[in-house]
Amino acid sequence: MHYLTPNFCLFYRWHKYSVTVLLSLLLLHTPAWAQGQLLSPKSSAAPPELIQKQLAHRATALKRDPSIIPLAAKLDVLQTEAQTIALSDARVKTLARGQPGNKPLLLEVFGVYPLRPSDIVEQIAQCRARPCYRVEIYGFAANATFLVFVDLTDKKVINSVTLPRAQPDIPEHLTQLALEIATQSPEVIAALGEKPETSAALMASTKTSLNRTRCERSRHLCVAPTFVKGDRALWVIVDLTDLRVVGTRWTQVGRTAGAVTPTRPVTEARLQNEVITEKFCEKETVLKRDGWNLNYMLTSSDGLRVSDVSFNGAAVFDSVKLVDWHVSYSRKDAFGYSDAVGCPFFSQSAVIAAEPPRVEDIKDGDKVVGFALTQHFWSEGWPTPCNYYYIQRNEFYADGRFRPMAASVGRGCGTDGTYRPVTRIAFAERGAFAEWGGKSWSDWDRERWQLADEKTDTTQEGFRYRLLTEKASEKPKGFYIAPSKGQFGDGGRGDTPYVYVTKRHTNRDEGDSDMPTLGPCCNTNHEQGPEKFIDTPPEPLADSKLVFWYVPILKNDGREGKEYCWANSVIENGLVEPKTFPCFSGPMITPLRAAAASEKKP
Amino acid sequence: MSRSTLACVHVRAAGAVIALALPVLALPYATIHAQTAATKPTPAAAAKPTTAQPEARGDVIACRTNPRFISSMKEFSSRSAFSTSELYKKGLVLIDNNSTPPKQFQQPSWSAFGWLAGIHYDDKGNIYTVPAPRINVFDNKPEDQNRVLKVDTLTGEMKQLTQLPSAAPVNEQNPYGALGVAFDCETRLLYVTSIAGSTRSKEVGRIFAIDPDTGAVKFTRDNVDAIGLHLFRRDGEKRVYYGRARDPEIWSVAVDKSGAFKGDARLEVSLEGMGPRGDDRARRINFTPTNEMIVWGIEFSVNLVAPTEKQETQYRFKFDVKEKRWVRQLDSPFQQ
Repeated sequence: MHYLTPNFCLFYRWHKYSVTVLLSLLLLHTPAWAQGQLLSPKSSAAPPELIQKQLAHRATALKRDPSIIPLAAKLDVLQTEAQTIALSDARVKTLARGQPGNKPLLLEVFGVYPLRPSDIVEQIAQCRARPCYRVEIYGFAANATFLVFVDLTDKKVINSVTLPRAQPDIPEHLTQLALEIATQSPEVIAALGEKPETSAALMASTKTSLNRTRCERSRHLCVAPTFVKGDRALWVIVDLTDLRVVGTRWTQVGRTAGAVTPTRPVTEARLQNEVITEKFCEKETVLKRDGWNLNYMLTSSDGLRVSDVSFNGAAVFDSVKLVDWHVSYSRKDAFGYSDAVGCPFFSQSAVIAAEPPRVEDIKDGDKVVGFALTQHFWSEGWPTPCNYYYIQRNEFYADGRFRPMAASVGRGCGTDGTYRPVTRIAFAERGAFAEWGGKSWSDWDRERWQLADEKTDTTQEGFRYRLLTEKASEKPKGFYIAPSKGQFGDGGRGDTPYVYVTKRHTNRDEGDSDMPTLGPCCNTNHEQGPEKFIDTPPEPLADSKLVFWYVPILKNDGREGKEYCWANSVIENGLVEPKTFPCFSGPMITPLRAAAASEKKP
Repeated sequence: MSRSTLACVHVRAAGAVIALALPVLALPYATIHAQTAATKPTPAAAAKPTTAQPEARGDVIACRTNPRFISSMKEFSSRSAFSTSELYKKGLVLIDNNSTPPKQFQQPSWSAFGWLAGIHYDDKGNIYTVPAPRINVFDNKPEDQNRVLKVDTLTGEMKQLTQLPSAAPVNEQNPYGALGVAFDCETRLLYVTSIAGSTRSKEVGRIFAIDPDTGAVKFTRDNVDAIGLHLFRRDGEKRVYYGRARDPEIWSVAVDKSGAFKGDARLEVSLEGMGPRGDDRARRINFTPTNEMIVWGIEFSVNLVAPTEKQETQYRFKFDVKEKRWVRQLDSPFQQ
């Protein structure tokens, strides 16, 4: 048994990206494979009354011992007896308890069936001559099926089988619940052009109202009511663990002798890969807000790239992207990984985007002071060991400040890990780069790197570096750069970053296009990859476009109460949920004028 | 422990080479030294279909033999095995987990080409493999992935046998090149799958038949992205079975006596809905002496994998003559 199967309720609850509803009319002009949409948890949750009823049902079960919802369907005497015997068995009761905390897990009996001859294996050979029943129990937390074999003569459980990542046929009340969730979904109604009847999901060829699907990544119980309209079918993936619609997709259907022939199943992972690839890996999205104007798209291996960034009409960055994640472990020399983050299908990424990027408000109290463009990257199995979850977040403030952030959410291969994300920032304007020398700014004449540790000075405002793009006028232009020392209120404990400034060339590509793995996992010095673009001898920086590289050093911690770059699994409401402790990093880049304006404020 | 999608461990059991990507320590290793005459029919005998034996062996691998250089490595037990999926060592490794402490051996040339995919032997004991990135492309530059590597049976040295021609240039979407190898004892051709140059929207992979001595490409099948492959004869017709990289399906295409591809490809079996993932790609295909088709399925989206233990599922199929299709053989009534 493995109770800590990752559960992504929380993972999905974070997602508050806006939803674009595809109107059915537009589908006529869209390639069939592209006709999918992913829905946010907020917009796709089942109607409140359905949720409340189901949650109340579950809450009652969780107070029982064992916390297993019995089959509510009409059972005959023998079925009822078999179920009672199964739920009274001590071994079955252990299935309903999970760690940590020995808390109740949510399970439900989905079926009670007399054993067929083909079911009888050697371990239950006695059932050839006796009445035996198979009780099928689904574990929502483990996403597993438990088959419990009951001998009615001896009135005891004689064997059990665990089928990991398997889901038995669902009982009628869950079929009806799935149909209600699907037919009441605004997105489904919009896609079909009308509210469908629950009976409309009946598939003539299969005589079942639900198509088989899978939620491979969330590892939830999912089914797919499918509504046929003309020669197309709308698949609606309904998550019966989270009680929501995951997404929808149109497929073409063939017809044989009047019956709808099955198509390749639409599943959660396929839908995510298709929608993310089509909308964010194949094309750029324009974003205009709060004076900012930018494009963004997912790359093959450089995370989410924002490009052509301007603020109030002035060009700021040509591009900003997250090139590599280097993870090293101290218990063994040179043990670790270099992870690339990016697109989920046909890419050089190992940790992939399983959800679309989202735009959300940045608030200071109740006041909105900017917006953040956030992308989560995930590897299958997280938060189990040796799986990874990264967050890339670009914060755009209404006063012109910008902060490219990177966070690890663990869990990695141990508590001795050090994360080194490599961020590349290509400034749009030529300028002079300088560091604060304690009393004045000191220009960097040539390409170089530096460890911005506690020995390096910062201004009173925390600025360590400055890029001066226009110094002739009375009001110079440019940016201050403040590495994180934990001052940004995001839980970060300071970056102690390696920074690099390199000359940006127009005649050779030093990272403008998608970059393959830039550096090895485990160098503990400045050799994280960007140093490769410091020429020998280093090139002069004067009157050049510059690239600023930022590599923080983030040590993870798994100790209780001090967790950092970490994730645990906890049991809540009978389900296993991840509890996360991200370690946010990244410098604040502040326009000189915004800094001056801030100084003038009383 | 195995972590890669494409790397594998090879052990020899009763003359049949079995490729595994399961946790190494859990494997019941068999000998790499022993080779019984009974399991080594001549190529000519294997080539003749017989009507007297309805279960005539359909595979064409029985000629394969162990590398000769191993015979001088007395410190390694007969239960040693080659692996390309070691956690801390990239490349090819000879491992002996039966000794205390476990022994490992690696020639310098075995790690010179980065991380590797599966391996195959030929009739002289030469080993063939292809590079394949795992986790990242730091040790496996995309432009170096479309080649075949050969370990000499006498010296044990690994060298590049050939650089395969790509139908399209290397691109940032696809870090892979060659992916699978299979040796045909009858024609002495090495078949290699490659997805080099393919993109999300263009399937331009190839299956090659190459001369294992010179590396010269003899025959090519275009526009197919495939991973694992194997040759098998049924009803007198030899076909190359291959697992499609883009779909959970195993297809086949016939080859003539010279080893050239002929005719249209056909769907043999789908893995759709099978196993814990329901969408596995056939990383490797094998045929047993009793003509069962063994498929090792993995999740594969033509990207790299996180450094976790990669899950793999084995599927077993038997051809049903009456139904004229491959039928899955379940180990229990409740197997997925």
